Amino acid sequence: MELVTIAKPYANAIIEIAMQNNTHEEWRDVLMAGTQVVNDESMQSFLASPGETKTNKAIAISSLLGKILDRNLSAEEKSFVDILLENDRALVLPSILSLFEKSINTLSDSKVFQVISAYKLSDKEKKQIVSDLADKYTANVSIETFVDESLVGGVVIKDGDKVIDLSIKARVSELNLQLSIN
Amino acid sequence: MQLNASEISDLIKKQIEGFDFAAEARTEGTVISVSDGIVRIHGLADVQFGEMLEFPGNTFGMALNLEQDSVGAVILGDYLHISEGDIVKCTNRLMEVPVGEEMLGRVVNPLGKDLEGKGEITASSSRPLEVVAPGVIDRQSVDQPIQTGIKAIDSMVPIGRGQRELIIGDRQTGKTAVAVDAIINQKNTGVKCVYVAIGQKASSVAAVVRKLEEHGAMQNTIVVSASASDSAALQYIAPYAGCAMAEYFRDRGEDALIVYDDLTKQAWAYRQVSLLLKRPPGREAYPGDVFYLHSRLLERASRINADYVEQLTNGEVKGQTGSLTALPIIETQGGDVSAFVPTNVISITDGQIFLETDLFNAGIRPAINAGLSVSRVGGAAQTKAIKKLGGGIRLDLAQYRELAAFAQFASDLDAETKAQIDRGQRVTELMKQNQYAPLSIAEMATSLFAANSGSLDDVDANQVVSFEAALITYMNANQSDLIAKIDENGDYNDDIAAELQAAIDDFKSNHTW
Repeated sequence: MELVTIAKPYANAIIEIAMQNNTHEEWRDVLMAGTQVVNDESMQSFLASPGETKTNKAIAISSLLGKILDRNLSAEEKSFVDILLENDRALVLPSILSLFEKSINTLSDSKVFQVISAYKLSDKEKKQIVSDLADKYTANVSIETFVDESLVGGVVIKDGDKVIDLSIKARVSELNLQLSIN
Repeated sequence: MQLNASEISDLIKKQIEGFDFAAEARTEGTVISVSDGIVRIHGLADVQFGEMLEFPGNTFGMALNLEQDSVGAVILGDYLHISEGDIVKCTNRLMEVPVGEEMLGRVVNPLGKDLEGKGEITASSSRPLEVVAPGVIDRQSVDQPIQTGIKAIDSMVPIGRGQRELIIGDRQTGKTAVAVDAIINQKNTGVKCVYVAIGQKASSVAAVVRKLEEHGAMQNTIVVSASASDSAALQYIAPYAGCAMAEYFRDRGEDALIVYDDLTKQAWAYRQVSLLLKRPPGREAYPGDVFYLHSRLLERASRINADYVEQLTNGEVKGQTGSLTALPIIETQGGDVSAFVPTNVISITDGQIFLETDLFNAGIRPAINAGLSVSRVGGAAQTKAIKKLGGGIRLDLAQYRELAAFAQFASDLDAETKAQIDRGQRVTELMKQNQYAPLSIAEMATSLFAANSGSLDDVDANQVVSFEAALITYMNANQSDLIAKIDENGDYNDDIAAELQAAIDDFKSNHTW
């Protein structure tokens, strides 16, 4: 969780570069591929091994990224990988990706909400939620849906650390608290 | 108490019907780490400083450190069931405690929960823990006395309503005894008392509560206790909680007295919390804001004017001033008043009562050092009779201190010096007073008058204590009119002086001691 603090300057730098060169898509691909790479277990042990020099690790990652993306990395992308490895921060890549996506969303005035419901939502219900949220936040809203049966009923809408909890579970626990206080 | 079954279900039905579920966006966070009651939380972007946080299992905490991407908070109460990954919710409320008349006579923890098993307290309202002290415009000067019933204090270091008078001394010098006596003396005066015990043994707190009950002072007293086994966070907030409860009375145009026993331990608790929150340590490892910790607390003790009371009560209480008198206690180590916390609190308060081990061991109890004890504002508030008679006492003792070293060469001294030493010895004896035996204004005036008028000079120094006790018994039995006259409003004039002299002469010629 603390990785967020470390990831912030990296994400901000990438956003600025991407805005200058209009290369948002390319950077997103690189970051996604990078996340995939560092999430791999054998890759993690390779990155952690003291036997390999930082330069070797950087070269390996760069070539892997090139293969996954099926293109040559640009000079900036290469030096990003170098800097990341030089500072021993390869494991921050997933956090950089999420911060990067969040910034892109803010720039394009769009928001992604996580909607958790007790049962699978129908398309009609999803549309209703999207239009309600769009009205409330005046933004282009898209949602990711999850199912959690323990909610019993209703939905929980999340945007980062902001939560709108409309589930039966929350109502019951709130009622429980009220009764135990009085 | 028998509970009526239908009553309960009716109550619950009402509660359920009136249950209001707000569908507001709340900020949530996740616990990153838990250590010694300190949690670090990721998320909670909108949290306010000092906001109450809701943890799982009906546990609450308080946000104290707002950092980039994380929040440092203290858990109030038990923290063993909280683990990494738990969800923390904002409550949008600053820390509050229940306040009101219902709290009187109860022993509560710093969150206002009953500690004695006497049942839940249904307080009429609540107040935030931290409030800004009344401003300059809202205040009035201190001009009414608060009687502690202790001769040495009321005559030499008088305390006014709204004053902050520090009680300072080493361990085992009777600091708590002075404070408890002061509370006991308020039992029929309408002054509401709050006794805040911080980091003390639960047995000591129980002993104080028992004594207050024995002397009938518990019904106008609230005891707030964060004992040594409670978490440091609770010990840290205890004085603020007690102050909020006392301020309720002040703001309603009543008089209140609060004892913080003791602020040294609160500073320790705050040091612990601060170090665990990774705030940089300063002198004696205290954090940088330890002065502000005490100054903002003691600044809340004040006398407020009638306009402000009217404004605070929405016109309900008119023409009455309110006051909150604070008696903070500081424990020194080996008489060292130049340590960090003692110097801070000495400079914040309006005077101090200095208790000394040597005096205590010499049998002078209360062990008040008359030379070092001062009251910066109390003189303006002193009762007329005590003020007139007390001045001589202070002078006698000051002269005696200078000459005391020569006392053993008594035979070689000139008559005047010898008289001063004799007077000083008798006054020193006279200032001795038993615990839990506060004196009324008239009783005190009688004792002081006896010393001032020279009536004690022909009494043996080691018989002064029994002389005084017998004199007061005689006065209450045979001179009740005079006693009532002085007690009525503490007046003192030539007539009263003559009557007192006559009474003492009568006692000396017709009674034994």
